[in-house]
Amino acid sequence: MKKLIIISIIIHIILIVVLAPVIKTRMVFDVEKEAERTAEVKQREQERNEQERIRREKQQLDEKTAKMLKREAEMRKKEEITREITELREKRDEMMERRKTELEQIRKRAAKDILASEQTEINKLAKNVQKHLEEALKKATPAEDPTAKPSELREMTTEVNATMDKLVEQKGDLTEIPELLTELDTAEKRISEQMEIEKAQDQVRSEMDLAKNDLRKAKEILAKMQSEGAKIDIQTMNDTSTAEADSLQPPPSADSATADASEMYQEASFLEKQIATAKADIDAAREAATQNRSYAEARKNAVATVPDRPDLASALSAKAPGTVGELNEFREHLNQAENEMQDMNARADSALGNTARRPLSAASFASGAAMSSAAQQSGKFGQIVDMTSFGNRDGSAEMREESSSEGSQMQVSEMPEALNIDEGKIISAAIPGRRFTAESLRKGWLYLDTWYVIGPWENNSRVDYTVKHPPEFGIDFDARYRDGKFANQPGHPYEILKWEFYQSDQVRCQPPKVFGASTYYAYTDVWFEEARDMLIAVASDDASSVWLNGQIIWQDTGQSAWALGEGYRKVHFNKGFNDILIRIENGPTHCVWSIVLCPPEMLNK
Amino acid sequence: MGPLIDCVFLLLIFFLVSTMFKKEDRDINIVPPESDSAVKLPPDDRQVVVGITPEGEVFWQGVSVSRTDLHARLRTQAEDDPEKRIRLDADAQAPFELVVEVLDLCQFRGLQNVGIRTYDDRYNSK
Repeated sequence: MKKLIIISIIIHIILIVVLAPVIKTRMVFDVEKEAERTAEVKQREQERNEQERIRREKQQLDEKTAKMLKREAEMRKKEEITREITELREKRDEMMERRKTELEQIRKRAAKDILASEQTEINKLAKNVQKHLEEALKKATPAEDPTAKPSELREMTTEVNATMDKLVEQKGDLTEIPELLTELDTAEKRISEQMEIEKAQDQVRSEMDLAKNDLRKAKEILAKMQSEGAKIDIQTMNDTSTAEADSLQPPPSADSATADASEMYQEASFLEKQIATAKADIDAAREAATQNRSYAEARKNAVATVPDRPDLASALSAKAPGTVGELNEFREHLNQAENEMQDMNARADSALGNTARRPLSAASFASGAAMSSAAQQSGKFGQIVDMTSFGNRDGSAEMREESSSEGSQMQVSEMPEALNIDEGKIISAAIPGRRFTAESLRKGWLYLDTWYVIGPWENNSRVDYTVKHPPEFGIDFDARYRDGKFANQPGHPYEILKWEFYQSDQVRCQPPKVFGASTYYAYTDVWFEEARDMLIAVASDDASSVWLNGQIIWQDTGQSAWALGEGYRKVHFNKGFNDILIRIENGPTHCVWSIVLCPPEMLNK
Repeated sequence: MGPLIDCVFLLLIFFLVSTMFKKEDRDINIVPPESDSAVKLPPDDRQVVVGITPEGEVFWQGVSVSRTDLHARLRTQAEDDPEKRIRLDADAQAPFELVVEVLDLCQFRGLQNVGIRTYDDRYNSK
């Protein structure tokens, strides 16, 4: 018995001693020598492993074994690849559905929709006429007896107001224009006659004169609408046959149950291309709607961007591997195919998110065109334009879905027409950030300091926004563009353009490397704890366009130095993430931009 | 007594061997920067590992990802669990602007629990 115990103990001790190197324990040695010896051992081990790997990879496989191992490797990856391709198909179907809806809107577009921006201008002028006539009536009423309103003036005002209401209600219907023009002539005559009667009262006459001027402008625009409307070939403009997504040639349909990895990868590549093309079709529809252009013209500018992918379809469909090395390569290709498909899904998500914003509808024609028009910087320094109140005469929300967000309390009428601010004070006090909470917003002016910048593209020292570059069609941080300013100069650091991460330590930002006569783009996103309205001040040297969540909110032309307070826009930010893209047109030298935000209610403090 | 000793030693051997089982390898082959003030933390298998190589290649849990994919994954991670620990394994020679970009992106997405892995002579070799 005792012998057995002793033998058992000895065996266990031997086992522990044999396993001891496996246990990572530190013993007290010369540390340097130990490190050297460890390094040598590691080096030898690595060399041995490498030789073993090479020997294994050259090992031949018989055909049957090779086929079996290849099939086994595919089966292991099948579930993941099938999941990715199923998701991609769903996203493609969703994108095609959206595309169908938006192209339908274009096909249903009427001539009056093409002239929507003119109609918006007419509405504004009609409102002004009514406002001036009301002022005239107020000034003509004796202060001691507010109820004693002059009857002739009142009668004329009522008649002209009725004509203005009719002008607005016609909503661009071209058939009603001739009659309206006659009525406007009559209204103008009535105002002139009344002005003769009110000779003594200068203030009343001046208001009526203003009303008459606005009425004349409305008449001119209406006449222009009539002549342009006659020239519009609505069928040609609405022809969406140049849309490409449904005319792409698909590969042979891959049934997930029987398809191999190569067929599934081929299908995934096709789906990615179709999603990108459908997005381009949608972008063209929106451009046609907001810029009043023909769909065919807009589609020429829209670009379907698809990244270069490795040709894994050929690699995966190759005959059965002949060696272990080829089998390992095949497995590597399968992993790579899975990664590529995950990336395709990420891009499809981004494209879907992009197109989900503000889908095209019948109402979009008027508001989109009006928004583009309002985004234009008029040249009046410090002008404030409320972009949130677009599309509705009563000032209710168009840009935002509800009017209950913070900052909306400062209604259009309370906002000054222009703002004069102390530039130096703001530059010194503004704080940087991209995440805005109630706490940060109480600090007043905030500037955006973190951007992704790309460029330069050639602009020949001219500001031409009709020439579009890839970032306007979609943001792809991995994209490499070969159509930049220095594309024909091999070896130039900016021969191939890619997005660069940039952070500024001050309000003014500039591209990492500035070239004259160039176009740059800068992209960032901002996060808001709650949906709210904000005042945004854009300044640039020289010209710039700014899009917020895909909607244009600012566009200026012509060379100008950077000046904070060039112009302001009141815009709506959604809860969560909002993206901002700015296109900067640089002239001869400096290229600088800034975007500064302020809660509108802080202006009162 | 003999059988009891057998059991004890067998259990010892069992635990010695079982702790050597291979875990999913999320590490990439980099040499992290050194730091004297680094805090030693216990290993955490649930943390997300983001790697950056000297060539500027980015890895998510040991798998190479594009920048677009990285943005999408961080956004998803922030939506699912903003408190998740993120470990940044950046090589000492990795482009600094890329490290700053990833850190800024994590902070912007609301992922506050971010740590940078530093050199440990037990795990790394130069």
